[in-house]
Amino acid sequence: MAPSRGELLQGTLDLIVLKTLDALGPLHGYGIAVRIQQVSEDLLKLNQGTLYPALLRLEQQGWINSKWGVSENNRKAKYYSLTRSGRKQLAAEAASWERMSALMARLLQGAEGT
Amino acid sequence: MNWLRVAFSRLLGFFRKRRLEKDLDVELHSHLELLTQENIRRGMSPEEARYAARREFGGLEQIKEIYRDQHGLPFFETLVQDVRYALRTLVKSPGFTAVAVLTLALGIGANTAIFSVVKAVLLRPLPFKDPARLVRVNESVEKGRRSPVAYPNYVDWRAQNAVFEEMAAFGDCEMIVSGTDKSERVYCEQASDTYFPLLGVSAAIGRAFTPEENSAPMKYAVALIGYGLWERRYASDPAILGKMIRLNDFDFTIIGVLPKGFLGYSDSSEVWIPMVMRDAAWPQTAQYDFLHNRDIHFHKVLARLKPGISLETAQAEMETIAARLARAYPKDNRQRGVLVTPVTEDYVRSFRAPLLVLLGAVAFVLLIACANVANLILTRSAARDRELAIRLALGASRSRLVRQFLTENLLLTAAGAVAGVTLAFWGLDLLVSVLPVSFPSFTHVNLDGGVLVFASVLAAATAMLLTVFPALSSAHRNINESLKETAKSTAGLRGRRMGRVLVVAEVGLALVLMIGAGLLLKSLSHLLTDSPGFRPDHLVTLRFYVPDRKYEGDGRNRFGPQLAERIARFPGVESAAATFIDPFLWGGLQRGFSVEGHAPISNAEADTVYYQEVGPNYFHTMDIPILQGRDFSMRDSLKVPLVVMVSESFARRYWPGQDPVGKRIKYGNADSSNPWMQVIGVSGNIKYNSLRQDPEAEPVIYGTLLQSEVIINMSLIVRTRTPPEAMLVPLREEMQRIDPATPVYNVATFSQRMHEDSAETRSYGLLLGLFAALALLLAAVGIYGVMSYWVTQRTREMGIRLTFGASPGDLHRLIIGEGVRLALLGIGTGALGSFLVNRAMTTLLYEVKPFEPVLFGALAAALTGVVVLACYVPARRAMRVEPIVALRYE
Repeated sequence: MAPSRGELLQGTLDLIVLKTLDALGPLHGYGIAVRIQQVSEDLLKLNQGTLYPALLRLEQQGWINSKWGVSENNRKAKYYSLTRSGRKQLAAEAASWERMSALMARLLQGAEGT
Repeated sequence: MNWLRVAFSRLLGFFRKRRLEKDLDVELHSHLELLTQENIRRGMSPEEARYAARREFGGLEQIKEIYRDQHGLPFFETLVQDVRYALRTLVKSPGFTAVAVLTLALGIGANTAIFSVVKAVLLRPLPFKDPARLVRVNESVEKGRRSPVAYPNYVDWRAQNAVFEEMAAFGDCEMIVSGTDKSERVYCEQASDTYFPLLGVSAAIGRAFTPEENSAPMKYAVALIGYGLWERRYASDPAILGKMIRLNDFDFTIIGVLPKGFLGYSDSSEVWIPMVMRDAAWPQTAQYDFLHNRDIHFHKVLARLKPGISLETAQAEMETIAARLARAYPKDNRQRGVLVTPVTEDYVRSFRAPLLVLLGAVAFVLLIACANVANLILTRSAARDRELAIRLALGASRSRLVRQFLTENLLLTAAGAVAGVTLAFWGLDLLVSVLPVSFPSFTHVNLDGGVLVFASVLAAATAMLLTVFPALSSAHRNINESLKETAKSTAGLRGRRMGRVLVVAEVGLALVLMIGAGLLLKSLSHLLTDSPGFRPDHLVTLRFYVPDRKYEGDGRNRFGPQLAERIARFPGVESAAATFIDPFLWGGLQRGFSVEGHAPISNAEADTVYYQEVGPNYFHTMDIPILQGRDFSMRDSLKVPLVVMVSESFARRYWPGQDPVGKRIKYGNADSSNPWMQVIGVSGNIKYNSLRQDPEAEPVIYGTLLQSEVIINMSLIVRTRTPPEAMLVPLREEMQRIDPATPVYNVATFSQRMHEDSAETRSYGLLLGLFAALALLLAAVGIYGVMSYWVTQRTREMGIRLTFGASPGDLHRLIIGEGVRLALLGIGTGALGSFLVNRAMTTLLYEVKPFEPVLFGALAAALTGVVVLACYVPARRAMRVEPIVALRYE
């Protein structure tokens, strides 16, 4: 059975959100969603709404925090920004992600080689 | 620490739910707005743009739901929801709720009350240092029978073992305190110096004994006194140390006062003297040389296991030592083994079986209560079938429904537990006053935290049981069936199957309890009505101490009989006699003896024979028949050869078919230097130790006080003409008038003594009877409930049968036949159960067998009657209905 989309995305989505906030500074939910779509060039098809439980999760972990602000169209919006511990978490996650992808790359190459 | 942070923020979320909800709403809408504008910018119409934004965003409500689950505590939110729902349902059917809560309250309350007694008596640690490592060491004679210890054996054990950190010896006894105040009898202990450190007790004032004080015989006349005695006799004098205390007419110096509440291992002691000072307090027995005589088995021995040493290891090592001692001293130690037991045994042994029986009884009551409530829930859930089916169809998971039922049942049992604990709280004093009063002094029965935890666990377990039982029957059912069928017909099928189980279980449980109570009450009636071998009415006993130094030679021997002669002339007295036993409290001495022309008698056998010394007129006063030969007279004195009388059972055991008069017995081995004593008469068997005693198994040798070697204290038995209760005070005063220095104590009528002796059986019987009655009542209500529900369910079936020509009589037979079958099944189950359970009760029973056919038959018939009645009444009602109405009955 293929893993459900939620399972597949959970860790990845967290990392993407953290990286996005790291790169672009404080953003509201819509901004993050737009950015993810731009970067992934629609490879990552997700309902934008799914972002919110993830944002809540990250905030509960203390990796991001939120502040009310005003959006481009003059509406009340919540802006999310990376905290210090979020930055640390990002570094750690990124490192482990790289290790993992290097490992996968080696594995797959090796498999092709034989 | 991150989980902590998450938990905290969730907790915060739980309490700020409404605000977060609003925030989320604002946030999501602002997102949708931005998305819509972007879509418009891309050229969509506003309508289209909004629609596309919705699609892109995903299900708004779903997102919110996920978000909600995450930001708060969904478990508790569901719980709050369930509790609210359950409360609403319960309040909607107040009749059901009230009956269920009351039933559970009775069950849980009874359990809580009995458990608080069990906890206080059986589970409370003893008030000594590290009681887990504390053991009793006894000598043993044949098959593990415990015997007190000879002091020289204790000395050798202590010197030779490697398993105990320390050992201590002590002996409990009575003494007369005189001097400063009026003289009184106190309980005391003669103790080795190791006794107090071993128990972990030190003096509150002053100090305990030193090793020196316990190794030089008759050199240090020192004594410790109890806190109560210090308050009572010395008015809590702070300068008590160094004061004198006169014990059995010998002056001891007080060196310490023990802490409040400490009553020694015997749990009644108020004075302690060094072991090696016993001859000062009891010069009468100095001739026996307790400290060096291996044939006087008097002392109690305590020991503390070394850390890491098990009871078994200690037992094995002590057996090796005992075997060595048996080889070294074959004359005295030939059959002497050793027995190491945990000290808790001494305090809880006599309570364990009856208390566990009571605990079992209340557990049965609770089970019956559960069965009743389960039945209520079952009939109620039948009515809720469609509700459940609809909820299942709407997507509720089964586990969700079970959880909701569990919440509902938890609420019920929690209410039951609160009511039950309240009940137990009010009933506890009554319970304790009904129970035998002889619990150790340090047990305090109360509803403490542990008991409340027990009640909560019980309530939770009950709720589980109540949830699981009905759920079992609904777990496999098909939703569609339930939706299609009418509620009635499904409930009929299911109710019948479950109802059967409940009826059988209730009949079985109630029967077990009733048989138990019946056996106990029958034992009690035997105890009270079986003849003790003498005439117990109008009989009074008064114990007194014979001052040793006041009387010389046979003056000491004549003291008791002369006192009896004077009291016999007192107005209202018919006759009086002296004996050295204290009836139903102390039954005399056991000593090794030999019968002329009979094989040597083993220690174990000698232990079943009691030696008593009585004065003239004893048998007449007690109204014990002299079956052969003659009674003692004043002429049987120290100046003539020793004579004895024996009980009927003694004569039967040692001289079957022969004339016992003229036969001879002696103390010790046949070749010992003790004089032969000639049997002059045989008296009828009596009970003297307890009402449970089998006089045939415990024969008596009677000596006469006029030829006694040792006179310390004795009892005056007085037969009165007037009501004996009214004679207690005048008789005591008269004895004080004759000799003001002689303390008189343990004054009672024989009826009082025998009443006390049967108190245990009475109170356990009373309680068990009470619980059995409660069980019967609950079971009857339950059975009636099941049966009448079941019969009502079959009204339609009855109608059909009637239209097809069945007579009402046939239907009655059908229904009652079914009821009787269930009752018989229950009786079978109960019989099996009571066979298993009653084995735990054998120590409580007297003159009854665990299986009493008449009792069993009567109770089984009574229960069957209840079941038949429970069928008959609703069946009659069902039969009166017109067939056509019955067919329409829905």
